[in-house]
Amino acid sequence: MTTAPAWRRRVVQDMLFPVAGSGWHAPELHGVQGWRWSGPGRLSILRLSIPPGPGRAEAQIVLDAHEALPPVAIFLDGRPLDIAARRVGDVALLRCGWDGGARRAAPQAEFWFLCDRMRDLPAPGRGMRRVGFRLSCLSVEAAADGPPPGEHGLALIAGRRLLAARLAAEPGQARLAFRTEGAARLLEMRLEGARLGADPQPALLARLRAGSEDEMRLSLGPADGASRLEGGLAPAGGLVLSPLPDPHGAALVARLLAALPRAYANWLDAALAGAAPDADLLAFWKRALDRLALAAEAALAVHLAENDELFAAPSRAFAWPAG
Amino acid sequence: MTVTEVALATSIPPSLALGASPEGARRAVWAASCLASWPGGGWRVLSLNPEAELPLLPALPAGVVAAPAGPGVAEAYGRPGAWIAEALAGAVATGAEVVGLVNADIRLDLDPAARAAIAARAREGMLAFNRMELAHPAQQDGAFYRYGYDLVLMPRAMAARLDLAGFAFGVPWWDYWILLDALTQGLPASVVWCPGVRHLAHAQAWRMGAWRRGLALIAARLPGRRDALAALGAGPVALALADLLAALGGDAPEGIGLAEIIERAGTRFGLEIVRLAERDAWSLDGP
Repeated sequence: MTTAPAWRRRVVQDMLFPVAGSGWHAPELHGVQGWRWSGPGRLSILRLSIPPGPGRAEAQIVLDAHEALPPVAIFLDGRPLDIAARRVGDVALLRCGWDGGARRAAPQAEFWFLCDRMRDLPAPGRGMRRVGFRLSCLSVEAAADGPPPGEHGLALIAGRRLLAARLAAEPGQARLAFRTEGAARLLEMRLEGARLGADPQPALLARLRAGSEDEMRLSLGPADGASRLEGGLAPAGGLVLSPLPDPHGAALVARLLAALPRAYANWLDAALAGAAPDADLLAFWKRALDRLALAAEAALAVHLAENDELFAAPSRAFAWPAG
Repeated sequence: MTVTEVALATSIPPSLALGASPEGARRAVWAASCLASWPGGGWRVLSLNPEAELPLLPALPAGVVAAPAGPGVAEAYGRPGAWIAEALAGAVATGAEVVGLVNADIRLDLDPAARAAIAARAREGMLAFNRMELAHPAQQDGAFYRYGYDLVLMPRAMAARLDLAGFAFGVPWWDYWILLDALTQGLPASVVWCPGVRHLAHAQAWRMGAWRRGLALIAARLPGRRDALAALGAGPVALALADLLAALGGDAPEGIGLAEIIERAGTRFGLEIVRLAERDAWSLDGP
């Protein structure tokens, strides 16, 4: 038996037209696509009248051919929303929902877009400008129900700023090699242009060896050096690495490991255009890297909970353990 | 479930028009799946084609019929085709309660419940559907393309009130005008996102001459709709653009810079139409 589909009223904010809010550059129209860049700040705000109660939204973000999904968090009236992000062609769709409790008693809803990746691009005829992502439109509709709202929005913002300022780790561009060794699967990720804190890194090599989905060995260090961290995921899922760097270094390594799924996704976007992928293999390593990232974040949480020094500026540059 | 009869009009391209290249073959497969998707649940389709095209059409499924189109499209737009007004009149002549237009490269992945919900709502007013854009036929999810309406449904009585003379399938602007025509007559019109209205992305066959001629058809009608446009709260920019387009006529007048001005003004006026229409926007869960 088919159920009757539901009609939902939709409110559209076309970014080519005036917006209520702040943190947006002037509208641009190129061919059949129009947008506003977010910026110059990380936080961009849109205010609009939306239907009361539970709802859901879809932000359409314009992408270049090999541009990764932008790291955007969305808040509704100060509460963070869970986002399902996916790329479809040259557009990223960021979808989120909320229940009735997420809304403030205010005439207009306030959407915040927090972008962690800012860059400087030439502005037409006016020097450089700092930009984040290109929002084409935001569409909001009522929903029968929605997920409960997130909380502690300020803590989330503070935490993200802390991570960006004190514990920044960028994996850079990944080149991948997949191999097998008996029944084990091996993945070599060569990371070019990685950064740990403020320090650019030489080419790094992460070697992962998985006998099954529950067991993984990890070796990480400069590709051309003898100094490496060795370890992996313990059967209970915890991350074990040795020799352990100082707390700040350990936190940076955890941040790097947590960013590996992003490097993997970027590699997928670039490498698989037009290729016929081995979906099973790629999915295996996607899950494995996600597990590793989760364990790395858990290790980082422990570090942050225990070490006050992580909240201060690092006293020295990151150094790999002597080989 | 009460079945509302729906008669859609279109103009199916002959198979040969899709070409023999791999891209042509891909589009031919997609076109066949579109054709097969239209009829069902009380929906039927009339395709108008020039006489010479009729023998070249692919096999038509039950519920889809083809008929000869009136002359003049090739002379007006440089390629054969069918007039929108004639096609809609053909749909009206079927006696169906709901009539409409669909572009031939739209696939309708709609189950009976969705068809019934759409037809029931289209008895009350015009529904203009944005298409979900797909990169490949098996793609389940995609972005909606907001700057075009590929399926338009309306009550039969509304169709008789629309002024669509001069617009043709495959030529820009008919979809914008049909909405603006309804809105400026005070007729109910909504924009709909429904994931069952799908389109396989392809390179745009952009023809500026046809774009300008389509815009000129709207420009010629704007003086008579200006007050209605103002009453809709279209805003000073939209009204100024309407005045400008009405004054220039839209289609390549002589004079330095006028072609560029018309292109800019037409593009912006099109965006204004989209914004006006999206004041009454809806989603329908699908399929």
